Amino acid sequence: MDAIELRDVTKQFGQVVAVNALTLDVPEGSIYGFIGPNGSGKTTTIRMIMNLLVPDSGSIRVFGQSPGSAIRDVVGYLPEERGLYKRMTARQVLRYYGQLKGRTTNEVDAVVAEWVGPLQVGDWLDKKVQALSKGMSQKIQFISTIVSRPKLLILDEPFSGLDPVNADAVRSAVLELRRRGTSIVFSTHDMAVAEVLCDRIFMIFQGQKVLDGSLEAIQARYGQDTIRVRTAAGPAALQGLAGIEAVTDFGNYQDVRFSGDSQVLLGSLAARTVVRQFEITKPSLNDIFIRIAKPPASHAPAPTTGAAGFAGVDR
Amino acid sequence: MTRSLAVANAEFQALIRTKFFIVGILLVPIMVVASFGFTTYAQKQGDTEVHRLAVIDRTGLILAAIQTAAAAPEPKATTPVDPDATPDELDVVTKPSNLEIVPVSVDGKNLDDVTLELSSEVKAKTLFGFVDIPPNVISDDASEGVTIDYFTENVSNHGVPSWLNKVINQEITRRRFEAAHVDLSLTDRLSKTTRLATRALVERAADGSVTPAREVHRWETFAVPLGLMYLLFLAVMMSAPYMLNAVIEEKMSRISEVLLASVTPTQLLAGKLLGIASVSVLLALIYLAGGIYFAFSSGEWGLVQLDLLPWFIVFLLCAVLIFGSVFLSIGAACSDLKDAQSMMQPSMFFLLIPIFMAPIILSAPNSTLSIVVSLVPTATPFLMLLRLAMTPPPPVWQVALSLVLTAGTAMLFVWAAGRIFRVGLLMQGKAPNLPELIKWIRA
Repeated sequence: MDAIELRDVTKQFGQVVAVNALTLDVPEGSIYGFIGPNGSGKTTTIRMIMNLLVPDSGSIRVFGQSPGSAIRDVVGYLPEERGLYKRMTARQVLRYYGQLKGRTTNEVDAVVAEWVGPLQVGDWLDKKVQALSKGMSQKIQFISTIVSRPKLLILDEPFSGLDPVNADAVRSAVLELRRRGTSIVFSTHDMAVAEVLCDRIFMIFQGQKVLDGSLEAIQARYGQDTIRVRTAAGPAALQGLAGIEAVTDFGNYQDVRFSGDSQVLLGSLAARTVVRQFEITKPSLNDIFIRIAKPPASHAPAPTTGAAGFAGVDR
Repeated sequence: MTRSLAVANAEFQALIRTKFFIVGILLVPIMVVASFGFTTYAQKQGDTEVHRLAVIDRTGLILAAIQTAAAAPEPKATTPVDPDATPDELDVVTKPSNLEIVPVSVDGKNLDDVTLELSSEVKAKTLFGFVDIPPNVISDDASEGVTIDYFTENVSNHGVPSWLNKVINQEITRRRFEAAHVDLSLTDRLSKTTRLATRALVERAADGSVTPAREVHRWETFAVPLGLMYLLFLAVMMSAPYMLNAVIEEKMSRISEVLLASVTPTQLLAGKLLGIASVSVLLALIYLAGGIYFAFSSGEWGLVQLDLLPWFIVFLLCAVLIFGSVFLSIGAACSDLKDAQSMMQPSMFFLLIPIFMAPIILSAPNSTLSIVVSLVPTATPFLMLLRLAMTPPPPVWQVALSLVLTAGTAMLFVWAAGRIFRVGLLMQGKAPNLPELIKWIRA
C-alpha cells in the first residue's frame, strides 16, 4: 500500500490554479522529495494531504484512507514556517503536541528520551522556548513532529536555517526514521540535500507535476548533456562557443549544457585557455530544476557571470 | 473530546499563569477598595480646613441655635444597610467639620455695606461664606418670597448650605411652635417617625401555616443584582479578549497549522472555549467566595443568595460561549491586532448594552422594555441574571424562554465560529469583511 495516493487533485484559489490535476504515489517506507519554485503548489499539496485544505476535485488517500481524523495521529507534520509557544518550556510543548496526537505524557517522554541524545537537546528541554536559539527551536519542533511515532512524516523545508552540524543531526534523524519504516515526504529548495536523501523526487511547477521518479531515472531522462568545466579563464572562456545552450556558474567551475561533439568543445576551450577539468556528467538536480523553472531569457533578469551559487548564464 | 480537553488544559494553564491574570485578580478588588478609600480620604482631607462662616442674624433669635449646633458632636453614623435606622436618621444632614461661626451685627450699618465687606473677606479666603437671616422669617405669616441668603464662592459645596438650611429651619419651627404655645416635647413625640420595612410576599407553607415574609435588605435591591452582573461581565472580559490575542499569536507564529494537523478546527475551538469557560468560572468563584466572606464577616447574611449560584454559572457559560466564539472568530479571521481591534468594536457594543440597560431594569424590572431587552440573547446572560437577583424574580416562562434563546444562540455562534476557524486560521493578510465572513460560514 502506498503511503500517499493523489488522483487528479486540483485546487484553485480564486482565479489561480494552485494545483492542477495532480496524480502522485508515495510508496510506503520511502523518502520522497517535493521540489519546486516558490508558489508552485508544494505547500498547497502538502496542506491537502494534511486535510488542512480540501481539494476542489480529485481524491487523496493516506495509507488507503481519506485524510481526516483517522490518519491525523499517524502523520507528523512540520510546516515550513515554524511556531512554538514561547512561554512554555520545550518539554511542555512536546508533551502538549503529543497529547494533541492522542499520546500520554509517558509515551511522549519515552520518545523524547530517544531523541535527546542524537539531536543534542537534553540541556534545553526545561528551558522556555523563548530562550532557545533558532537551531535549537527547530530541533525541538522536529521532535514535536515525531513524538507520536508517526508512520508518515511530512517535513516542509526541515533543514532551512540550520547550521551544518544541526542539519547533519536532523538528516541523520530522518534517515534513522526511514530505517525504522517511517515514510517521509519533505519539501526542499536545497537540491543537494534532495539528491542525497531522496529515494524519489517529485517536482511541481505552476501547479503541475513536471518530474516524478528516482534521481537516476530523472537524470537519464535529461541525458548526459552536461559538462563540468574548470579553466584558467573561468566562464569568460565559454563565451561565443558553438553548441553551448546554458552555463551555470559555480565560481570555481561551470556546468555547461551542450549539444554537439564534446571533443570539439574541449578543443575549442584548449585553444583559448588552460583547461583544468573537463568532465562529462549527468545533469544535477539543480540543473534540471533551473531548466524547468527558470523563466525564458526575455523575462529573466540580466545574467551574472562569475558569481557563486545558482546564478546562471544563458547564452 | 480528549484532544479538546488537552487544548482546554493548555489554555487554562497558560491564562492563569500570566501576570495579567494574577495581577488582574488582585487588582480589581484593590481598585474598588482603593477608590472607596480615596473618596473617603479625600472627603476627610477636604474637610480639614476651617470653615469660617459669618452669620448675620437680623432676628437676633437664631444665632445661638446655629452656634450650639456647630459645637455639637457628630450625629450617629448611619448607612443604607442599617436596618434600625429611622427615616429621620437616614435623612441626616452631616454637619460639616471644623465649622467656626462668626456672628456679624448690622446695628447702625447699611446691610449692603456689611455684605460687601463680608464678600471681600470671602474673596480674601478669610471667610468660607456668610448667611443673612432676614428679620421676619420667624413670623408665621412671613411672605413666601422671603429667603435666607447664603453667600459663598464655593457654590459646589452642598454640605454647608444643607446643614444651615436644616439648623435654621428647625429653630424657626421651634420658635413658631413656642409662639403658638405648643408643647415642643409633645410635638416631638407626636411627629416621631416609624421605620418602614420592605418585605417580600407572605406565602403559605405546606403545613398550612403562613410563612413570615422576610425583610428585603436595601442592598439586596441593587447591590447584589448589579454586583453579580458586573462580576459576570468581568469574568467574560478577563478571559475572552485574552484568547483573541492568543489565537492571533498562534496564527502569526504559524502554530495554528501545527495544531490543525493534530486536531480538527472544531476540537480546537471547543478546547479553547472550554479553557475560557474554566478560567471565567474560576475567576468568578474567587470573587464570589471573597464577596460571601465579606458578607459573612460584616454580618450581612441577607446579602448571600446561594440559590443564585447555579443561575450565575449557567448564564456565565452562555456568555462565554457567545462572546468567546465571537472573540475567537475575530482572532482567527485577523492577522494582526489592529484589524482585530476594529472588528472587536461592534462586539464590545453588544457587551456594553446590558451595562447601560441595568439602571432601567433596576427601577422597573417587569416593564415591557426590561422584559424585551432581557430576552435579547446577547444581553440575556447579564440582564436575566440581574432580574433573577431582584425581588420579585421574573416569571418562570421568561427565564425558560431566555435560556432556550440564549442556548440556541450560543450553539449557533459556536457553529459559526467553527466555520470561521476552519478557513481563517490558515489565511494570512487582509482581514475579511462581513460578506466574506458570511461566505466562510456558509462555505
